[in-house]
Amino acid sequence: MVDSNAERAQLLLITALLIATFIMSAVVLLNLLHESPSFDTQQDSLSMSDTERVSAQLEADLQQYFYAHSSDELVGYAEEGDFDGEIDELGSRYTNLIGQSASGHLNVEYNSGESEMGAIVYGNETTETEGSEQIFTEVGEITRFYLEATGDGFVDITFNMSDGTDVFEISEEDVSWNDESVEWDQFVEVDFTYGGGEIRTDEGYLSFSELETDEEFNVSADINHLEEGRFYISTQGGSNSLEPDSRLNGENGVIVNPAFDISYTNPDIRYSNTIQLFEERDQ
Amino acid sequence: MRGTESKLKKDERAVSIPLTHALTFGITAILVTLLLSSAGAFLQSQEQVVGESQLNEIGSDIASHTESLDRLNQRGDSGDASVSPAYPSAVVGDSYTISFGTDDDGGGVIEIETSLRDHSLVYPVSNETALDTDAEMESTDPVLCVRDDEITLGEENCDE
Repeated sequence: MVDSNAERAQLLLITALLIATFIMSAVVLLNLLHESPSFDTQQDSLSMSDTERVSAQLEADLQQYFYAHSSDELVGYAEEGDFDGEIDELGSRYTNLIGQSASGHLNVEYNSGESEMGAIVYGNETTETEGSEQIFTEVGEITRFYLEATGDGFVDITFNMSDGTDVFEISEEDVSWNDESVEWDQFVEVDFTYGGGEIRTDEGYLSFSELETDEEFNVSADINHLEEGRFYISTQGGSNSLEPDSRLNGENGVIVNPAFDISYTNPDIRYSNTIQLFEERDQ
Repeated sequence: MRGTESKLKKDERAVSIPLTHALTFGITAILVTLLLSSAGAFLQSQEQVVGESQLNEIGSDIASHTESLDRLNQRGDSGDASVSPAYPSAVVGDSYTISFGTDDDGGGVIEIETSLRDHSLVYPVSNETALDTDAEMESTDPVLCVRDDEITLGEENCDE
């Protein structure tokens, strides 16, 4: 086929040119590709969920700590001086604890400026009144009203706010708030924070909205019998009006709704917030 | 007869070396051009698929972060949080811009604009906290934050 050296050389040259053209084409094609770095969104998503988990857990723990701080009765108040120092100590322990379980730094401090001071009246199954007893006068706002009753024994309690405008009653069979009521048998829990709250029992549920009281009002209590349970009412500002011989317990000038500054930082997230344990609920 | 065959074998009048070369290069050029154009179109479509896939991942992640910031803001009185996700500055060679917007029903959405597509990529979010629809962030500095009860994005808004 190849008759001479000149033709062989031409064939080699053409083959070389074709190979060179093919290589150049491949290079051009490969250069058309854009590099797109792979990335992983998992790390910062984990950091974000860590932040949510840590802040929620901290809030729940602070609430428990606040309840357990002053008495075994789990009543919501604290003396300001002690509480401030203990939160600082708790914050240090938390910082160390979080540092071991997550790559973040947590800081928590008591915020005295945002915290609410006020008065509290509380009791349990050993507490009774002789008829109706005035426990607060000229209250601006009820920070929290909490009652828990268990068992199937006899119960007869009435809280009367603003001379009958808002009346809470719990008897052996039902719990009522003004005109509404719900039955109970073994368990009832009343949880009222600022403008509203709810009554939960083992047989039903009742939500109630804002108090129908005037700007300032009085609160009286008629504690006839509570088989097993506890209760407390705390108010923003003011003081309780318990008589010296009252069998109800009370404190004035105490923290009734503490606020905390928390901050959480990790490589991807910076979070800071001021949380108050009890906030007005959306109805 | 033998004389005629011998004459034809030695007849090279229609054979031209330059013509052979021209035909060889011409056919090769046509084949290479076809190869380049078809392979180029294929690569471009594959790039677009990969690019959209990455942008979808980024969009979903931003939606997730936005909802987390929304939840963090609803906790407490003065929530202040920022997140700096590690996104690439370019997807298949193109940078992209992220902003907040609203859909036809007034709900919040995340919009990603890129030259890979004629229209923005849109991802719905479920939020209570307001979204700063005037803000936008470039892919080179991704940062989202919640400030003063508003979720915003971009370094200049979050560093204030």
